[in-house]
Amino acid sequence: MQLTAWGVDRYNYNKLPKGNGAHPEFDPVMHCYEPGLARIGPPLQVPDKSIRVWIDGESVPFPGGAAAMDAIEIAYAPKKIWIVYQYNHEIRLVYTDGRKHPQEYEDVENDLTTTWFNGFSTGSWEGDVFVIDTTNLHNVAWLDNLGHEFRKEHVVERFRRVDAETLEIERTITDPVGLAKPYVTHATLKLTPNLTFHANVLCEQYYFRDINYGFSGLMGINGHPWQTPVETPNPTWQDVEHSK
Amino acid sequence: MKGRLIGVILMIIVLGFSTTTFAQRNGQQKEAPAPGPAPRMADGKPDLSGTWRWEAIGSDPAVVPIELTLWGLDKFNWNIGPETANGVYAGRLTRVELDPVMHCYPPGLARLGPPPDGQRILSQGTIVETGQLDIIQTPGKMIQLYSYGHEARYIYTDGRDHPKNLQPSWNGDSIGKWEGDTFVVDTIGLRDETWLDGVGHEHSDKLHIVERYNRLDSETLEVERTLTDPIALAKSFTTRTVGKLTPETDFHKAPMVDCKAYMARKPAFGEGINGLLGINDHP
Repeated sequence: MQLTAWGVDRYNYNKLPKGNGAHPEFDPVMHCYEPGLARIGPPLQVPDKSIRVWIDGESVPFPGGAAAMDAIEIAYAPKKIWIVYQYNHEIRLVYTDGRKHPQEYEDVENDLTTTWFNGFSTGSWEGDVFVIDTTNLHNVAWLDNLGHEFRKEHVVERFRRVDAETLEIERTITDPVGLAKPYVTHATLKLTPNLTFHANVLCEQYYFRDINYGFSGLMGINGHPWQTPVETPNPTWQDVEHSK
Repeated sequence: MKGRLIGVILMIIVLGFSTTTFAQRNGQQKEAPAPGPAPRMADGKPDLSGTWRWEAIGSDPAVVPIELTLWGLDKFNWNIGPETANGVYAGRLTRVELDPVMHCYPPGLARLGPPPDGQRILSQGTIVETGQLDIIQTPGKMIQLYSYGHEARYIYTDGRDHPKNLQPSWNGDSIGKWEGDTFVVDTIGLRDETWLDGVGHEHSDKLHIVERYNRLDSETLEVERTLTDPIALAKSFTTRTVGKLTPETDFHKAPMVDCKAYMARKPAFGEGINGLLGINDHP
């Protein structure tokens, strides 16, 4: 991932000082925001692959493990295609009726009327490749769990069914604000006809991993730094710890 | 022995203020052709797939009587505050700060409907249209996508039974089967953190929901839903909702499960909740 100066700035702000991933307190997912299209993948970017579910007062591993969370379901419908993600039970609507994207959106955080966490997707066939073009992505979300941010994200996914059992997805993310070069990922998915759709993961379940970092409780959406402007532009880990 | 104290409470779902939005939408719609017979799948069963918009949304307020147990009445009294404990609920005194949805919890299947309970949720000052259900019928399962909260739900139709050691989930474990031309969905295993509705009725993890789907004609889907809960409800109650086939899915208009969308409803209700609540503050 090659970043612009702005992208480097945001990344440095979000990451932990010892190169140990992103600061959990800055991660929007940790505050019940949706992960956004870039992070639901594929490839999947969950905050912690060893995610646990809180059931009956006990913290248990996610049923089926992280691999089960990676699953997607593609359902054809007239003039549209639905993609249902196991992770967070995300739903994507891909229009295939030839419509265009909405007009260029303003760079407004928290605007839910022109931007969406999974964006606005249109799909078309190029030969045997199904191409999904997505814009209007809500820029509260991150590009990944490392703390990379975007502002004008544009995602192009190319779905190719290689054989009866295999689906290949090539994904290209461009963002003139945060990325110096397009960011391309590849993923190969295997058909799993009998996969059970597990309970969705609620944001409260992310927080158990943070016991290691000193976060023993839940954060909640109101605790996010965006809600109260941070005075110092680049607080260190220790600063944040002491301010708690 | 007291047994169950039965409190009959009229739950008035106030839908009036979504009328404007509804009228605008109706004005844009063209004259619909006369409905034909219900289309059928290759196996001869009615085809339920499509995008359905509930007719109840924006129309006359629905009145659904709920008979609560002592447990249910106790929870309800707490959730609406003492002032209206013995009176008819007026639709304004629910302590929204106790509503799990306001704390980023999913609404749960009971509130997804039909009829959906999301009509009161505001976003950016306008009422979000939450009355859509998209049904996809595939071999072995039916997928239901709700525009309210962008919830996804799987209903298995491969003949399996509910699992023995069922882990409770937000939308429960659903199995479906055909009784003639009626698709019957049986759901158990629902987590009890969610509410039964936005009014303040609660349910236990013994909540049992049976839905009966009938495609009356090419344009109409009828859903009869019966909720049974031996702990919270003294008597099971049944709602009937009619959905109309709509060619346009507007999932992209409704925000996804973003707590901020829920918090924004405060100015219209004026309960004094200022700002976001967050999951960590829930009592």
